Amino acid sequence: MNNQPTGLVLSGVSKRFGATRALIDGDLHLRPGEIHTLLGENGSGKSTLVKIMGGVHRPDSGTVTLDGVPVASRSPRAAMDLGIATVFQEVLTAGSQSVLENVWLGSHGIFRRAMPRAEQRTIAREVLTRIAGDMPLDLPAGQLSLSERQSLCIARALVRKPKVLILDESTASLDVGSRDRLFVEMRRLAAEGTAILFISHRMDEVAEISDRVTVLRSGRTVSAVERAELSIDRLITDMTGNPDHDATRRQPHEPGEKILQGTALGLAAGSAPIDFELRSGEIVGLAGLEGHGQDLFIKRLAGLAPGPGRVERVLARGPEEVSERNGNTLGVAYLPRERRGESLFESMSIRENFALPTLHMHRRAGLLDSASIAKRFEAFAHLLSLRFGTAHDAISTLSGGNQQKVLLARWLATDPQVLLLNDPTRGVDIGTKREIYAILDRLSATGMGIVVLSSEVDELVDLADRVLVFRDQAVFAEIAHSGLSTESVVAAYFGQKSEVLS
Amino acid sequence: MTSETLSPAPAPAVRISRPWARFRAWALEVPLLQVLVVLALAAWLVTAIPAIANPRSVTSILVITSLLALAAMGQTLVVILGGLDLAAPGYILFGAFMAANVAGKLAVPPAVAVLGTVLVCGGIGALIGWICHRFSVQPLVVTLGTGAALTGATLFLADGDYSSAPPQALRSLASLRGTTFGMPFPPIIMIVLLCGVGMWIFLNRTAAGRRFHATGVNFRAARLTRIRTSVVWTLVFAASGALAGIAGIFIAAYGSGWSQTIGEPYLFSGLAAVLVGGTIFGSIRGSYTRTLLGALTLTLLSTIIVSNGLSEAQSRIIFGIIILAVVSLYGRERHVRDRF
Repeated sequence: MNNQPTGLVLSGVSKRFGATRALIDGDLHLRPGEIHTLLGENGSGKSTLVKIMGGVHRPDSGTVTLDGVPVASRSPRAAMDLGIATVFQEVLTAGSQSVLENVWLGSHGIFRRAMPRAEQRTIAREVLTRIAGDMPLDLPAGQLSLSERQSLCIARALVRKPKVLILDESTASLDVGSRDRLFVEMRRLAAEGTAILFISHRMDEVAEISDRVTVLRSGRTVSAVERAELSIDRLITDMTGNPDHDATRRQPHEPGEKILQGTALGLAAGSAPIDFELRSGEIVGLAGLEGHGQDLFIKRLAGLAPGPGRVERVLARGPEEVSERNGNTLGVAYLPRERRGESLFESMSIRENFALPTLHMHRRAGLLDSASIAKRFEAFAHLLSLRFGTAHDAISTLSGGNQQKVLLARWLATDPQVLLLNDPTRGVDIGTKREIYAILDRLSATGMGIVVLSSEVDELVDLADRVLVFRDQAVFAEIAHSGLSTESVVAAYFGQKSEVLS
Repeated sequence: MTSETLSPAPAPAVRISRPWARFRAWALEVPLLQVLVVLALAAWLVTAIPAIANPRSVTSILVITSLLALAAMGQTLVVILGGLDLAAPGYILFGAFMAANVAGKLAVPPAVAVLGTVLVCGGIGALIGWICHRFSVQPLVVTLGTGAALTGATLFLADGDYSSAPPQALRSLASLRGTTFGMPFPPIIMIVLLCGVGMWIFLNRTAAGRRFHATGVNFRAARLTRIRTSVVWTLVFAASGALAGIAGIFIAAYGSGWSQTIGEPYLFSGLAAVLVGGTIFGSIRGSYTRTLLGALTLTLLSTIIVSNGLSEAQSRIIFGIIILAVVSLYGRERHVRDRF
């Protein structure tokens, strides 16, 4: 072996999206013949790092080399030609095409001579047999189960015999049998010299398969641990950075009577039904790695998504089912996650944006009473210490944090008893975040019941009375205030409960 | 929690009024540029043909403008919502048929003919709006198909009779010699102006108008803000149908008769009036005032073109180029780009 490092080496890689620094200092050395796990919670820079390796993004700074040669992939296809194959979490298959065609999808260009069909069949059969058991090659992919389609996506990467194989949460949809077969195949490929990067939200899988683990936190590589030194506690500590929350944690108020209840809510076919209760004065946090059902759950609570089970608002006159329409009368307000797509009317003014759901309260002789709207807006602007030029300015002139405050004011103006917030501090600066926490604390003191979904663990630890952690479309753990810490939440993300219960 | 706990209603801090920002907001709100274009075109016309500055010609220009503005009224609403109503020629043809063959030949009372037009065209429009919303289909496709079917049905009903004329009661509404409460211009001009005032109040001063605008600006957010978007879509397309049908009645009344293709020019020039006026697809800035100015601009422009001895064919070329120019100008706005 010469002095050149072999395998895929990323050093000092950074990437910025607008004001967000997704990756600040990413280091990763993926050696040939090893199974290397990349760990990190939401927003740690994991996906960005994977996308840089896979040619989806180009780094702003830092170097990426493969066997000592700089890699400048401009597209996933270019990365593939260099021998870097990525299997993403999303199961992407062309449903109307056959299994065989799906395996070779995108591999023959218009001018490139395709491999003879017989050879294609042989290779595809060989790979599929190893990772998915027997799969008929001529069946349309749409007729396969989710697990089989996931295997198909992995086979698509394997038939290209990559030097570097990246499995980004690709085991999420696999059944146990297929996963075991995949692990055997991964070990075989590693023994042949393939470098494998593995990403999973299951700590048991990580512990089972990894030769080495690299941990990312807030866009930086914080540690690279050899198998011999591997311990789950150590990994969780590395992921959270052991922050001190004693000074910033909110003290819960004494909860009042029950105001919202969900009964037997099913988030996906076959997942465990969820029973949920919200009491007045409570702040309940919803957590989980992206895509584990917490987003659907809060939409179910808001009556926006259909599904098994029912959500009822508990009123003095008896329970009433929450629907998309009756939120105003039941006193349930929902602040959506995507500010631009789901909340803002960008060309409309600040005040118009504020008043939309409450227009019916400001009518005089059939016309809008702009003086009364202005008065109500002033009151809420003061309450939330909103900073703006004039209320006539377009809402797009405000900063993200102030826009979010206007939207919060919009829903507070509907006089809700139940406030459902879907990632309310996304893209909000730290100062405004603190202000929003203080506002939520004050609101809960007046008896409002609040549910906050957040992708930031620190936020939940500071804010929530209790936290529900979602895994695989079900509640994996409910962490009470006494047991709440970044470690306990992150441990539950990765399927470790003992920590929580102790 | 009650609103009292959240509404301490303190004395609001005195904010610095910024004259420049206010002026800019005003300039965006008020179609100043459009007014200037109209004035410039009018000046050009008067300079080129001084003889045109007589009451008769002015009335004629205003009546033609009114017909166009009336035909473009529903289209304005649909464009603000972010769609296009290609069924307009069908509605106009049906309205003309009702005016000429039903009210004229069959001597049905004009009020009944108008009501029939509103019900049929409004009903078809409502169905279009509901279908587009319910099944998330492009209004372009649905209106094109429905418009063709309505045109065919109308021609079938007419059974080859295109020689009837609307009754005198309808004709006097749009006749150049008509008077409005003794004033020397036909009622159509007053009707369109009143419509303009009504639309302004609806769009700017009512809760329904605000919700309608919001639905056009951001459909998903409108739903999540508890606006009944299905009702908005149904009513807007119904209004578009009914208004185009009424425009058809007036167009037939003005021309004292109708033909198979009476509605066709109004699809293009109606849409042109909306766009030249500055209403952008799915925008808060859209208003009917702008469409009125757009209709006036186009009428003045075509008068200039015709007075310069250019043919109908040549004037269409010029209109087409103007539309392309206007749309490419607005196309620079992010909001419009996102839609297509």
